Amino acid sequence: MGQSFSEDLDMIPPKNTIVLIPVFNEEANIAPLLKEVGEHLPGVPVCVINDCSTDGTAQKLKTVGCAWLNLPCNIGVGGAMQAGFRYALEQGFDYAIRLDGDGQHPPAECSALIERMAQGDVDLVTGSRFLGNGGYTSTRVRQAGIAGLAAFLSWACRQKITDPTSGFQMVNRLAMIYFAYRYPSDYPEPEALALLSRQGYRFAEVPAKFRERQAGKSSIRRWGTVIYLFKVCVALFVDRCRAVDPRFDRRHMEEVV
Amino acid sequence: MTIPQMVSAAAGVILLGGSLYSFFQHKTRRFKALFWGAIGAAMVYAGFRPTFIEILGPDSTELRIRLIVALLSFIVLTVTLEAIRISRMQERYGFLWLATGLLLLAGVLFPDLARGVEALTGIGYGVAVLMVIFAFILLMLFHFSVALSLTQHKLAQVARELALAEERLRRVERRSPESAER
Repeated sequence: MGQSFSEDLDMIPPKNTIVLIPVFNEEANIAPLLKEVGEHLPGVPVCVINDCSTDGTAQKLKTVGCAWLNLPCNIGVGGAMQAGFRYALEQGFDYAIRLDGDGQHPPAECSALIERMAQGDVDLVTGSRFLGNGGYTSTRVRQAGIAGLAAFLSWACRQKITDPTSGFQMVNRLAMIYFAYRYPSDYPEPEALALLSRQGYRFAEVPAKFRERQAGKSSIRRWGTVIYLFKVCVALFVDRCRAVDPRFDRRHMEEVV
Repeated sequence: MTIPQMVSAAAGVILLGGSLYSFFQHKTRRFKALFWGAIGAAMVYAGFRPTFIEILGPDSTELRIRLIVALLSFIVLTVTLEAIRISRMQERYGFLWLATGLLLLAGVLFPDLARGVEALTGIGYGVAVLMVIFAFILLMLFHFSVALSLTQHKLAQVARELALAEERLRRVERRSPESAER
């Protein structure tokens, strides 16, 4: 733990890094994405978590030659990520990078996350669309929602957060241990940040360029945005009311791990 | 003959016919068949002679409400017990239902109890019964939400464990191909 990588290796991820890719019905995207990961993060093991896709994703995974987890029923991206974190811990990895299965998070951008993580002062790094000139466009409703959420979350965490819904993240072992124990279920990213901050973990954002999803359909529908916002705000509020879990308090964890 | 009478008579005929049929068809559940047959016969009789209700006491709104609530509590109790018996429902989930049924039954058997509530709260009898039902249904819905969330949580945990175990099995099988062939 707490190791830092040397300056000249800053583009190459540390040996003990794994890429976790939660997928749901990404038959068409998964193979190109894995190929891209192989190009930009050579030698880094990948684990795809198939959240009980109803298309041919499971069949496809048998041919791509990386590790994969097949969830027997659909439990949402949060639950799937939790399975991924469990896997990474069991396999003894110290860092995990999450990429979304729709290809939104370009593997080429991972180096920014890795560099930031290498500074060793944070437990989680998020790639933000809105830092720098990300050039990301979305529907107006969604953008307004994200802005409101960012303001609320920044206040809750007492830290500036520009992209609360970004799932483009890299976590270290400490954060992984906590997430393996507890990770929000449906749309987990904002709540996960709030939980981390509450437990005393530190995180940072780096600018990252996202892409449009490569193929297939997004799983969030138009009304989903409003429901999403409501659900997340309730969750954030409730989490604020909960006591800090002493077993997973960061200072305590540092002593134990 | 008014429409409610006709409905009662028709339902009674169906009930009576059904229970007679099952009385002779399935020889095991004769008591149950006789019971429902009696209710059917009573309904048919009540259809032709609406004053039949007066054998229970002077006809009044209260008596009618009590009859309906008695039926309701009877249904709640039997359905719950039956569901528990064929183990479609766990006892702890049936508990609130049984309590509801018994409370309704108590309200029917001891109208003074309900009058006490009425005196205490100033709410009329019929409405009071509705309020009790409503409150209990809300309670039960809350209970189910909690149970459902817990189950969801456990399900996700089991799913994760299964996925991890399956992955481990794949790795082991890859290492020793002969075991995979079996």
